Amino acid sequence: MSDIEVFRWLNGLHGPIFDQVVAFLINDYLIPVAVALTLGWLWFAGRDDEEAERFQTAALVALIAMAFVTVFVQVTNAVWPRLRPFDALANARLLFYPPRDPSFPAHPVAILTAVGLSLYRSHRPVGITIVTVATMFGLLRIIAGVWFPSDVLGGLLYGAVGARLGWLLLRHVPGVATAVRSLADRLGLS
Amino acid sequence: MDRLAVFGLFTWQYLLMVYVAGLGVIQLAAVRSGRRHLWVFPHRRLSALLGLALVGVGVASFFLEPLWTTGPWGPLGVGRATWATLETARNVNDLNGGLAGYWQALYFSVAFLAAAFTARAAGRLHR
Repeated sequence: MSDIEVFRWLNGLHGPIFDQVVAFLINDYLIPVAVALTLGWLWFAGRDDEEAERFQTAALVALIAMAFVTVFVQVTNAVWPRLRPFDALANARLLFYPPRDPSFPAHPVAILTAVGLSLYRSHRPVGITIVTVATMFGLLRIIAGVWFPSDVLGGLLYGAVGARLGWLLLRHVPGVATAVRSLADRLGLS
Repeated sequence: MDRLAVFGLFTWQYLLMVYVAGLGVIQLAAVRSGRRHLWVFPHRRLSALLGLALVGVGVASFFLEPLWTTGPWGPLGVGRATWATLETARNVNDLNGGLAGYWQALYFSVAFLAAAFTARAAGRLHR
């Protein structure tokens, strides 16, 4: 099946209550805020020095990964401003407001995936949950007519690359994590 | 209501949500890790309960606010949302006053840090 065929199939799923649930879950705030709060939880949740260092390093990797992902997405958008499904295809059903930025890659999916994969090494259940949520978020937005399936796959890929680069950066420049943790410690926020 | 007025409305409601829910999350994390200097109450169970309540109230207030506040909410136009239309109320494009990702990142950082300093200040009161 092609990208458009998969989009048509998913976008065709509907029902009165189903549409309401989808329209709520895909808003710009619920899932991104929940994931960001999880990141905040992780910062303070370590039970001993070793666990705290592991959790806080992972949280910092997630922040760096988000920055990488945002740069990559902006560059991609400038090079290839792909049209959204509701602009590109006739009769695409839209359950959301019509975003005006390019469709590829799915930026929120890339951000959520980057966070999930950054946390995976330090807290596996949280990492897996966030990546699952990112995938579900992408699927729901395809159903809502906001993205093509390839946009979501692109988001997952960009997120994975961002997380990898985040870990590489902190591995090669470990002083960053030490400096941030030391500052937080001085402020009583460690 | 113009775009800036909607943006202002979203800004304050978002900051409040993150501050309240963030304080709750910090309580839950501090109870798990035993960081007493961040507990609002000097009791573990009370702090955990407060944490749960704050997360619930913070998030719920943001999504229920369109029921009692007038605004252009999602595709509904000017006015208040109803229970039947609440699910789309927060779907407002940043071109029309919703919060773009970079604003969310900035506001989240500010509100969460404020929540962390509040927890630290509260923790000092009972040390």
